[in-house]
Amino acid sequence: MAVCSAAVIVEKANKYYGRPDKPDFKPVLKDMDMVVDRGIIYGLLGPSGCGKTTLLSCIVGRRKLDSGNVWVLGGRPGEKGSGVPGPRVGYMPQDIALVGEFTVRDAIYYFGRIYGMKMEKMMERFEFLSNLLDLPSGGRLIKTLSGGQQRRVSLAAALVHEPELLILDEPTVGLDPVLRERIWDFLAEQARRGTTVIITTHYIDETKQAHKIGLLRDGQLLAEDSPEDLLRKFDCDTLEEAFLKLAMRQHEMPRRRSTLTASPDVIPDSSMCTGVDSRYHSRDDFPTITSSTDVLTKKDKLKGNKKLTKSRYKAVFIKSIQQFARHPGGLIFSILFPIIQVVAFFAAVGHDPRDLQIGVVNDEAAFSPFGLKICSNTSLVTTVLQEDETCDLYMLSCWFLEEMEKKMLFPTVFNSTEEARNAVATGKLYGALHFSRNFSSALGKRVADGEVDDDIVEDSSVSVWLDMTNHQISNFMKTQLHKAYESFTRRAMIACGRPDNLVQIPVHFEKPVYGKSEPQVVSFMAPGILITIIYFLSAIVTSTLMITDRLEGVWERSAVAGVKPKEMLNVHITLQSVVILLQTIEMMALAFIGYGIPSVGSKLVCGLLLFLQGICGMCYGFLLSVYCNSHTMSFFVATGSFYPMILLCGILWPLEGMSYTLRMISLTLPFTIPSISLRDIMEKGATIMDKSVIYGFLTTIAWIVITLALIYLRLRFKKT
Amino acid sequence: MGDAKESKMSQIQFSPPFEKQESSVWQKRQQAVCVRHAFKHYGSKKRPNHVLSNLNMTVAKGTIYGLLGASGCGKTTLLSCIVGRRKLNSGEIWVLGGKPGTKGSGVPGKRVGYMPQEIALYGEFTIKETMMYFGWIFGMETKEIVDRLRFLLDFLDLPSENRMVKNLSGGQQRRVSFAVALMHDPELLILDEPTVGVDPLLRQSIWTHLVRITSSGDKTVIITTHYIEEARQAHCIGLMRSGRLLAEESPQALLQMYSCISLEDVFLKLSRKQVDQHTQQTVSLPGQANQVVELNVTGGALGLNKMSKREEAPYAAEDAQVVGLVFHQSKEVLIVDHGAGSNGDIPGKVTDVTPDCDDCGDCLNFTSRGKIKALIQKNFLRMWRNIGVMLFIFVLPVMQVILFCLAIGRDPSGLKLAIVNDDVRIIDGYCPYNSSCSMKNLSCRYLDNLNNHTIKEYYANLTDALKAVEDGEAWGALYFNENYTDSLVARLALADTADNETITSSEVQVWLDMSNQQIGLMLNRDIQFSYRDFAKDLLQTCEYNPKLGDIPIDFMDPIYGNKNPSFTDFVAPGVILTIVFFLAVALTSSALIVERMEGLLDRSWVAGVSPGEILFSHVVTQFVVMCGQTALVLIFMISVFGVKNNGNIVFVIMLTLLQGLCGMCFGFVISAACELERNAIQLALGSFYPTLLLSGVIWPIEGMPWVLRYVSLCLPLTLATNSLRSILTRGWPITDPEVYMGFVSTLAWIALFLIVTLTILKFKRN
Repeated sequence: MAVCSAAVIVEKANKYYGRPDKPDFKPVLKDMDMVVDRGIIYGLLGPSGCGKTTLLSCIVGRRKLDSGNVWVLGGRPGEKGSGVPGPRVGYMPQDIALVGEFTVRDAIYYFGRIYGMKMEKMMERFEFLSNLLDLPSGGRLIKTLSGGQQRRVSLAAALVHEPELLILDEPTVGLDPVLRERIWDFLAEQARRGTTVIITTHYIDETKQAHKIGLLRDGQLLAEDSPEDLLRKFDCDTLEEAFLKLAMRQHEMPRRRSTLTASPDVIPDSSMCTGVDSRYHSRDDFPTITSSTDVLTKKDKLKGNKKLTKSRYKAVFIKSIQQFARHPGGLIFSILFPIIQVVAFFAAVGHDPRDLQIGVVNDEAAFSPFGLKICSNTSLVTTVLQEDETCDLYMLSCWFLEEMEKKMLFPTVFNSTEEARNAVATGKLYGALHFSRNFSSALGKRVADGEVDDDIVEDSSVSVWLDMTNHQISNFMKTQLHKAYESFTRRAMIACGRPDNLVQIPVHFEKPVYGKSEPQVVSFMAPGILITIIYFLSAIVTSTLMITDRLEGVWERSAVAGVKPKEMLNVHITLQSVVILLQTIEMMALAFIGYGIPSVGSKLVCGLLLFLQGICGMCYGFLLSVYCNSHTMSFFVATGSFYPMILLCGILWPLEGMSYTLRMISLTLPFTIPSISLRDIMEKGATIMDKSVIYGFLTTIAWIVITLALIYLRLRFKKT
Repeated sequence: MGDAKESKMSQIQFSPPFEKQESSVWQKRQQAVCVRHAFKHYGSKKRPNHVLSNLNMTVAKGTIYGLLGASGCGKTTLLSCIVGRRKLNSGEIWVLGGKPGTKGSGVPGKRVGYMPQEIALYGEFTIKETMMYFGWIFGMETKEIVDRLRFLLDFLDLPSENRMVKNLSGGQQRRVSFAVALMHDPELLILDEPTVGVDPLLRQSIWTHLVRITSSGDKTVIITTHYIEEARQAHCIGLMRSGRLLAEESPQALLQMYSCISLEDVFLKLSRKQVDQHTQQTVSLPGQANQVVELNVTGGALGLNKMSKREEAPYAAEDAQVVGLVFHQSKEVLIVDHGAGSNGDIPGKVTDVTPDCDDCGDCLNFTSRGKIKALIQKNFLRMWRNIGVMLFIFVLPVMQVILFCLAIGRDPSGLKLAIVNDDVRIIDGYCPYNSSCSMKNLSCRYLDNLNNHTIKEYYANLTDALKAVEDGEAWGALYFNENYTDSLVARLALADTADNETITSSEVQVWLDMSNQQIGLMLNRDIQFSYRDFAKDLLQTCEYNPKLGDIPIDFMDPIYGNKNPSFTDFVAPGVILTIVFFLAVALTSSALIVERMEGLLDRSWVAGVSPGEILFSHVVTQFVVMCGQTALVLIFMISVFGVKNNGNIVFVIMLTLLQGLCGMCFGFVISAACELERNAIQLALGSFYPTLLLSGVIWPIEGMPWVLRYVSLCLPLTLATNSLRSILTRGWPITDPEVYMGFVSTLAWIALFLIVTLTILKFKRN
């Protein structure tokens, strides 16, 4: 039994990528057996692509074998209570897998905290490790270090908690020979104290110092023996040559390969051992282990677990905050961008066009004794109330022009209609109007008699030529002309002592039920714009952060250190929520206070809805990061979904203008209904009890649930 | 091969020694690579990070030179200086008789083969396409490439030439990468860790091949490796540590000199020595450490290539003492040996600095076309192989156009109005009236005119109707009082003598829900217009002048556009341009970064491709893609959805294409400026919304504050949108200032973006 108290046992391991009947099928491990005794240095050698890294990640519980068994420190990796992944293993992956925004000290402390180490202890370890590994000063950012330095920090991070089992994937690549020697000495020292070390390396010769070497090629162990034995067996000077010989042998007889691993001359002792060990199927049957966690009673253990969870949360929190705060681009993007977007929107959209010039041909004034200057005469009397209650009208066109100027349309004088129309045709002006010579009197007659001949109708009309190509401007001019006419007639009627709405169209618009009688585009679009900004900002920030974490291997490494995906997600959600909260407050402050957008309803409900939308966007970002493997891909999907959603969500144009099917599609989008709700809150003062508001919240929550479910499904069924 | 070396050796011994002073320019040029007093540091001047400090290195022609050292010691920097990718801060480098990077030196270019540390190949290419790409860049004929490909496939034991690189195993990819470096049979082969993680069998065959190609004498190999032991097969090895060469010697000589059995031990010893010296140095003069370097001279041709002779190498010990002498001897040998090979460099022409590579002058002219062809084909293949990108390129614009045309600009329909009619008794929503000149039930006649977008719902009393509006069930309420018809008739008849009461009761009262601005305004307009229609209709049937019913403002036929302008026509030009612009930004902004990250850019650069050529190839590819996108967008907009085009379609197409180019150039700026892909993405996405809002696409710039209006005019899309709008809706020709300003500003932006990109690239390169 004592012989078999191995640190790691791998038995008949099989692992492949892709599907067996597809062209991308790629077997990685084929019926592989391996035994690592406690307290030794085990050198795992082999060319890249031979399955070393896959094997290691199976040992630390990051991947699962397709068939076969792995026992690590007496338990199965990934099982509860096995401590693997967790504090019992120290893992240094091949890539640096450290957050570039960390300082050297942060990186070490991060892992220390994950393992629940005390501050003093961490400081002590840091001092020790930075001396041992000749680390650069603790305050330098990792991304500014050279490759070799980064590698050393990465190694230090794996050593910080003095684990029972050290798994180092090429720790010495590209290191200075002096330093390499020092590391090996250190490892030997550790092994003497009982730590087990599994190390992969390219420098075959440096493994002379290992106690046992496994030569891995094409998913199988060619040999597993001590270096001296290997050299002796193959009668070589260097391990390099021994490996070459073995490789040649494998190459020559590929058929017989399957028998090779089982052949007693390669792994005589371990084959016996694995036979005995295969009885142990779970940790409970495994009596030999006396690790520190075992000694604790169950209650203590539970307490310890809780403490550990807490410290892990702390570690990941600090990591995420530092990562976020030290990344200026991301910081600007998430804090400043909402401001820029909101300001751009409020400043640019929805204001009435200013300084519009309109060409005026005023024949009435031109033929008057004073000419065109007559209008600038302030004491001009245009209406004279006669005894018989009739009204003499004179130079009413001047009044009309005055009213027009009040409505922000500025007249430019022309002498003939041709000139004025030409100016419009060449694009100098957006419109021209013409008063006939006896405009005032004709108008008077028209109003007084009700029924007049065509000439008078003709003369009493203002002719208008517009350039209708700019939708907003031409609409604006049309409405303004109408309004100018309205106030002009009111003024004239009052001067004549008539009811002021006599010449109006007999439709009276009362004070609107909701909103203002002169609605602003800004307040129409604002809810939608706010929602889209917060949705997409959090989607983009989240997806980039998550993909970066994954690509750089930080996620993987933390997972091996025992951080559960759930914990990572929770931390990210919490932090992102804080950012979203900030963004919400910032945007609402800008909109309501800075730009004075009227909001009738409760600001709290507004904020809540916006915040939930941000969360929804964040979930969408998670979804993107789970389904997309690269930044480019997620970028394409994000852009691809951004544009259609904006077009369809009713910000730019009301849903009622769409065809029925499209309207239904639009309603299912994550922020169509919420933007209606937000508009209702802001314009109508709807409370949270109103149906439309409730729908908004429900859709948002439904979308959050759906995206989370999709993420869960993907994570669940993705092959590891 | 042994014989060749043997003969060289004999010449070494018998050739007369040179004077030391003559170790001048042309001698440096006789070496394959000669580095003198090289200094290089990164970072600012105040806190420089020294990578190379006073480094000297000599690689003789026809040898394998193993450059050993830990990562971060400056190996890669040194190599990239040798191939001309980076420039030294001070010192000089001669490669194959010329200075790298100068005209006519052929470096970077055809004369060097470079295999970087990373795979640096396009995953989506088959082996054959990869070879074709690099072959064309080197200006080889297709037939020549195919022959060479056959040979290399066979030699390196590669699978079928039609396999994709990304489906190969790690070792196979590495072999393909090696094959690419061997492709054009270069004079100088630079291999950055070619054997890392390679199967021992393959490693052996690589070394065998290297030995073979150098045996002919006119090929030189510089190899860096981590496996110090395998460097025993090199003719000369340089041990590099913190920016200096600790030793430059044949492996045998090194082993003897330091009496070690393995090179590893030698390196360790030397490193220790340097550390000791360094500590001394802090006390004594700086620069003393260079002694080690100065002591050692090229062992180049001296070195014995075979391991069997490891123990001998009798003059190795002398090397350490007789410095200058051996140096010159070896030089002499090289001249004799390679005089013809290096284009007849006559020793007399010592001071003549101009490198004479006649064949290179030829190849420079000749390659340009091949290079461009290779680059363009590469770009297309990449796109073609990437389904996601293809979808993005061609489906997205179509989808956007379709959605835009379907979703935007149509008048809202099915709007409910709550109507309370006390004038006429309504039964089951039926409101009877007589369409002749009858003055009865006028409210019904009015309501009948109000039918285009609305659904009328009748309510019994006003409170209910208003409640319906408040609950959001209706968009507005209309109220006709009990004597509406009578008072309206009276008002029309009495004209200005009508009293207040008549006037008030002849009015329709309207309450609207104005919370949705578009809908509110539209209802407002509709209610007014339908009154006018109703009045005109009534007057006409009673044979009056219908204009009497209207207010006396006569909107004539508009000079441009039609009487009821559609929002779609207004936004369409802006939408066309933004789609094309931002798709181009999206496609290009990551293209360069991805290439740079995968190490491809470096590799192509060393192969002699200039930044200009890379940009040009992208421009061409993008242009073709854009033509497709423009065609799709315009066909869908104009033909399928009937957006009006009153102008010349040629100019429309031209302007759209130019805007696409402009977007592409903006993408280049982003990808040149951003180091990381994610930054580029954030920048590209972030710039989208503000540009859309500020460019007058959805709202005219006349509605902006003064300052913002000028800012907006400075954006690349603003003037172009105006111009396109003028062409499409007004039908203006190119001679109109508003139209040609769009073209001018687009061209100006393209130029500006290109200049910025090239400046950034140039700045980064140094």
